[in-house]
Amino acid sequence: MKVDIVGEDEVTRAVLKRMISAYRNDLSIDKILPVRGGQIKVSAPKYNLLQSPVILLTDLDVYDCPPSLIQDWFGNTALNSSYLFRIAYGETESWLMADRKGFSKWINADINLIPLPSIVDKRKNIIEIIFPYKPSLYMMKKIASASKNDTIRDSLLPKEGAKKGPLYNSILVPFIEKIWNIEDAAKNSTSLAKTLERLKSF
Amino acid sequence: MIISNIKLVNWKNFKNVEVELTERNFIVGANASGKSNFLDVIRFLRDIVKQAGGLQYAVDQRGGVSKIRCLSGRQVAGVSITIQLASSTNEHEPLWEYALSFKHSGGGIFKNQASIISERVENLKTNQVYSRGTETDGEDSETLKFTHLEQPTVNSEYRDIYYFFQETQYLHIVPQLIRDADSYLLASNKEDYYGRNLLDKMNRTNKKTRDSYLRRINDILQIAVPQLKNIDFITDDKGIPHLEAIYQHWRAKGAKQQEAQFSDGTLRLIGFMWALLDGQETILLEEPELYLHSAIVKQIPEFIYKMQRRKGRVRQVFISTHSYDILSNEGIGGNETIILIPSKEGTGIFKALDLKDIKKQLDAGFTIAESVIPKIAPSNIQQMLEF
Repeated sequence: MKVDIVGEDEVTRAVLKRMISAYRNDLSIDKILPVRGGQIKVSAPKYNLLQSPVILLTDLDVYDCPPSLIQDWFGNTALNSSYLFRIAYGETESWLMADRKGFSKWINADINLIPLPSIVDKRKNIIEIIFPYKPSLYMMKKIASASKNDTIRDSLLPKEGAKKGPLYNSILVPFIEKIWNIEDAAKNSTSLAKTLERLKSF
Repeated sequence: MIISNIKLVNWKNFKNVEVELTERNFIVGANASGKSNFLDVIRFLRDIVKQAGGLQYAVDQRGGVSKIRCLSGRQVAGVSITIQLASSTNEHEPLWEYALSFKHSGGGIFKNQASIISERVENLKTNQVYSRGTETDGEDSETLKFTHLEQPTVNSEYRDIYYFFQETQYLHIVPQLIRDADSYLLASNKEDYYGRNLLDKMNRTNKKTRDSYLRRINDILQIAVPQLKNIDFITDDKGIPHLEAIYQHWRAKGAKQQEAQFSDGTLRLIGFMWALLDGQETILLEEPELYLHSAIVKQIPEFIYKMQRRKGRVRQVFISTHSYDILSNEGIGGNETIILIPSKEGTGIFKALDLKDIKKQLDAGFTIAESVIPKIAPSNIQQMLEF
């Protein structure tokens, strides 16, 4: 089956590709959308109108909970069954760091720099790693800066006025493709574990 | 070394500007704001020091002093260029300052030419100064036609600057010209504006180095243009060099194609990668986004950042661009973005971080594209549609 994937940045798209190739190699990726990152919120309802399979991953970011994001993006429109719409708690980067052992070893910094997961909702049994601020920023400022590897520091520390490190994608994508342990990460992030479940049954 | 500072007086559309530079510089501005004129300063210095070059040659190539001198430069007669070179391992460690100022002389029955007003070199480590000018003993109208920088007999104390500019590279490939096999002969001893000499350059690189560059180019083309395989370099029976590749189609073995049949984008991509691999010092890239798919263009900033770093050394790169896709890369810093803003009194040069409104937007999380592109857009552009 052919599927289009939607992610607003290089890292999100790499995460989707890796998950599909690891758990659903019967799916082949057709188009990679959208062309420009900022378009994702505007385009999200349009993918719902396509009658073909689409997998979208976005960041929860400033929203309190996934239902409020969905309400804001789609109103009361129901999502099509061929549309897998998933939201990463915090940012996609949180899912990467949720593989605490693999990530800290790769980035060559102390594992304790990545917070332990905490309970977000006791009743629904939701656990996630909660970062003190934007997870990608925390990764660059707190974890990468403590790395013992010069190349990693140079690649991930942002230059003045830049939002990300100069080789942010170039260095993270190979980690996602080759090292990231999805099962380990899913133990620390319910949003990832549920996405995995949904992907398997998609 | 890298060029860490440029100061211009009366150079083309810059009346009096100064800007600090870093390892990677994105030059942005509206059409006709002077992006190419800015890069042309570096090419001008290269024309002075290159083989069969010199100050007179560099000025002639540009149509004489009157074509170089700023139209807004009313009071000041001469054109002045001051550049600082810094160590490429530490851009805050300045090594050299070179300043050249020249004016027009001749007219009537005398030949039009450039005449040096002053030339000054300072070694910023030892503070040793070498200076000359119209008032210096032993100078006359004939000696003032030549810079000391271009003369190996005099420049031994600052030969580093001479070598540096000889090694700078400029790339603005016009695919149509590469394809035109006749232009190969025509362009051989002229300035290579549009990459006509690309094949010649490849030809002059020794085989081992060339093969290793072509291997890397092949690896990347494999991703960007999957139908094209095994790019190779050959010379035909007339001795003219060609690029050859296998174009895969329905026949099992594919078909051989030469550069004349390559697409515009493929040729640009090959030239662009060659310059980055081959460049030993500062590299000037004019609009690398041209003819390329936006998915490739988006990778350009990180790609350049990587390619600049080779064998433990960083080579400086200047990139002039109009591309939203390039500038929306979130890794581009406010110090790496140089903005040109034209006015009646010449164009101003600013670093993105030095413009208050831009800095405010960058702090708020805008990308360079989101903050800079609206700033440099012509303010009444919708009127184009009213004709």
